Amino acid sequence: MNCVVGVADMKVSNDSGTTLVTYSLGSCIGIAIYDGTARVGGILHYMLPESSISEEKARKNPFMFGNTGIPLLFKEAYKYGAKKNRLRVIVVGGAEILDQKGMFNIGKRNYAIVRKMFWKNNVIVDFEEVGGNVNRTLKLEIESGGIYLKTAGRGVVKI
Amino acid sequence: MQVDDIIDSIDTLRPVSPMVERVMKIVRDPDSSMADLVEVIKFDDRITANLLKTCNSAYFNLPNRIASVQQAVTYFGMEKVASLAMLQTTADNFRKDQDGYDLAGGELWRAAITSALIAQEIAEKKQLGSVSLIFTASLLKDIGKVVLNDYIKSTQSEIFERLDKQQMSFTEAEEAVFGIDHAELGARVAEKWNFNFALVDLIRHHHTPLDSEIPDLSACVVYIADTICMMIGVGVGSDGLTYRHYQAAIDKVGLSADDIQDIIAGYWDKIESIEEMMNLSQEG
Repeated sequence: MNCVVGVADMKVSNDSGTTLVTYSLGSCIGIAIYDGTARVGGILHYMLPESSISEEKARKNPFMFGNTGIPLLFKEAYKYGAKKNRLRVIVVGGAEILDQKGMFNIGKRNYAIVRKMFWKNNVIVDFEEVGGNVNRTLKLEIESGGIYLKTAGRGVVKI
Repeated sequence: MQVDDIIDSIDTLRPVSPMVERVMKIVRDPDSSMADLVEVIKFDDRITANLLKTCNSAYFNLPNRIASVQQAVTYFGMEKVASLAMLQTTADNFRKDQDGYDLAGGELWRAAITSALIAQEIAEKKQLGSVSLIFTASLLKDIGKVVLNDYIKSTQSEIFERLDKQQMSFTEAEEAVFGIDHAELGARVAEKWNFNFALVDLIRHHHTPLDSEIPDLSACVVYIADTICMMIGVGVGSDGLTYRHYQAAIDKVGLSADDIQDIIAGYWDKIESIEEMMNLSQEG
């Protein structure tokens, strides 16, 4: 059954019948993680890089921001038995409007925060497709660990 | 593909209620009164019913129930009631699948409502005088996509080639392939429906705000709200985010990068209201 991970949302599952899907990432980033031994996976869909813009909003919904959402995705998967060294990690999204520069390029800043956090925490990314001007949808089948990336208008690829 | 054929196919759109034209006329006529507006809206049962539901929805969270169009106009003012009435009349055209743009049913409608609410928020924050106009223009700006949708699919490879190899924006590619882009086509629709000059101009320039002939910041606000929607991923299809960024439009309105982030974060609080508004206008 499809279980939708909304905007500024995160879901982790070990239910073999579940497929996690997050639609229409735009400048947002979608991170999928999967442990094939524990058969546990999760998706995070965050909108903005850092919670310093509004600590109150981060308290209400930590999945809105990269710096507060990313640790929760991993912690939640560990609760279900996932192990860091077995995780497959996928990062997609972070698209930008044409000619968008500097601080206004939220897509690029969203990507910068995940790179920074992964580097600090020794997380190796298995696959990433970030930036550009396309809209992406990310899907993860818990049973098989199959991960699919759909680019609007351009089809679906299995990662 | 002939531009004339595409323009002729405007007639395949479900025409907006004849009430719309009269509402627009009343709102822009300084001599008209609240009573004139009430009379026109009351005439359409479906719109009256949905308007009252919208006024009483959780989005406005009013202490007392609005029971009549008269009360709604007294409470919200003519501009806002006209905008809300417009919301109900335009839904039919936006709700169907736009498979040419790879948008599922409802997505273009969601984008219309979302960008209208964001534009309204910016216009109110910046205390612009034309909130209702900005709201309505944001709601209707992609009406040209509804028409062009039927032509896009068969020419997708030609469009993608122009995006990928010639670094065109999507509207530039539409123009190159069809001789007209969805913004200009939307303006033609608005002209055909006798919308006022300002509304036609804002629809025409929603991707090129600096070319607008409206002297205030309306075009910039409509443009910024649309850009934010694309970044959030609302109503983004095969066109992706392939539209041009005009920093000057953002600077003119006086928004910082943090302001833009605030608006994006604020979207999350609006999701429920947007769903509610989408469902309200589905009834009737």
